[in-house]
Amino acid sequence: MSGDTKRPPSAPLLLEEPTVPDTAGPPPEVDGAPDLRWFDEINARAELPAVQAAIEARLLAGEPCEPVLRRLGGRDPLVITELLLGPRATIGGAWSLLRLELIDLLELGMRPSALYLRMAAVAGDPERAAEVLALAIARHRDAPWIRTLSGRVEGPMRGRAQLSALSESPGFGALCRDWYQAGGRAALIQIAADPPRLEAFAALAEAEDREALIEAAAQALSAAPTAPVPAWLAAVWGPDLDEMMVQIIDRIEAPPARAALLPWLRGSPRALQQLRAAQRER
Amino acid sequence: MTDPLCRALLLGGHAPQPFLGHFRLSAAVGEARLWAAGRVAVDAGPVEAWAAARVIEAAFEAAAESMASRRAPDRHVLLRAAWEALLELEGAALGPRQGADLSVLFLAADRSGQGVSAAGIGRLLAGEDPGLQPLVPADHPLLSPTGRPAAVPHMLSLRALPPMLLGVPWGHPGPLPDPGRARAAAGDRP
Repeated sequence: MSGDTKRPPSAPLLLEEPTVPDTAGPPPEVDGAPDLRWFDEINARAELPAVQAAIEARLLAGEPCEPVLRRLGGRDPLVITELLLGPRATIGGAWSLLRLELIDLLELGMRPSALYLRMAAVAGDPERAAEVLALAIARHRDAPWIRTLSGRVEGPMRGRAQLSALSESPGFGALCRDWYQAGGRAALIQIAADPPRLEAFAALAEAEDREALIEAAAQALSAAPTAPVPAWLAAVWGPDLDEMMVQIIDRIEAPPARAALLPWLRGSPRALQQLRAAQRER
Repeated sequence: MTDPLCRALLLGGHAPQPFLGHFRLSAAVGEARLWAAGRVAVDAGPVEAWAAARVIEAAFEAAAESMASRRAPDRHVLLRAAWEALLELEGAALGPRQGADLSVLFLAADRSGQGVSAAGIGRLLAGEDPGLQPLVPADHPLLSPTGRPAAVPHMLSLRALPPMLLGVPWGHPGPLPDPGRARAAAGDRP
């Protein structure tokens, strides 16, 4: 047993310049991939680069790696953390998939707030990073650190994945308000619109963001012309919607979507006039 | 709409749907003017509440239009017509509680004076915002529980037309809006 294994599990370790003992040697191969017994016998913590190379070889050979890593992790969970997320972790590709598959093990070795950020950083491409975010939301729903992760992964559309994933949850309205405050305006407009969501409209109104409400309403009514968006606007913004409806109509291009607004324009004389003028122009 | 300034406003409720069932009207017939603000069907969903509110607005508009054919209607006639239109509405059109949750505030004016009438209003503030002041004491008969009255209520005459009259619905549990925020809190936004 090496000295490293006597460290407390929380101590930082490995991969500074790990020494590969001469005795390690190349792993024996079966059908071009490292033999499973080699993984069982090796001191993985001391010979991490060799293990990494062996896993890489198995990946190239199309051999399953998750069981191997689970066995390694069963012996020493920190080895998995270091191998998959350490400074020399391989970015992207099949390694990213392995990280997603081994999330239960990885969560044993790192705080989720740091873990998922690191996973996103080594995801390799936006699509994989989005998968990391989705996994984080699935496992931690509304943890505060998801905002940071979402900002890194989704950029200007921050909040979209979490809002979308939790749109049926009881706290969705509060989440919408939180995301507006956290810079998720663009995502909130999209979430409000497709499919139309009253809670998101309410959050935009509470923030007194008239322009966002108009844009969300125009998008929502373009996508779902029969959605009761005008009634929602009246409930969240106020009863006099005439001027707002004029601007919404301006942004709706499809004639059928405009026409569907007609029943909602009682009490909105200017908007009604504009709608009829637009219909005459066709 | 003859006056872009909403002189009669009703305070909104709590988020997320503070203006559920709110209605508002401004009408002019000859020299007489009427402003109305209120809410109804507050226990309904937004679509049903919206429909009930529009029924009331349409009734007020029809009442104002019917007055247009009369010779020089005054504020009393215009106000009475609005009340009667409201009292004649079918309860079923006013949401699940058939109008029992109605709050409504009228401000009527003509050349000779102005007055206020209300139902379902718990507090009434008047003046400029900031600086709104209670118009009547808490035990004034102008203030009453929600619901349509059995008969047309009296009108309280005012010495001057206030720039803003803010009604607080009966039973409204929340605080009054911060100074300078009354219009937004009543859903009257530019």
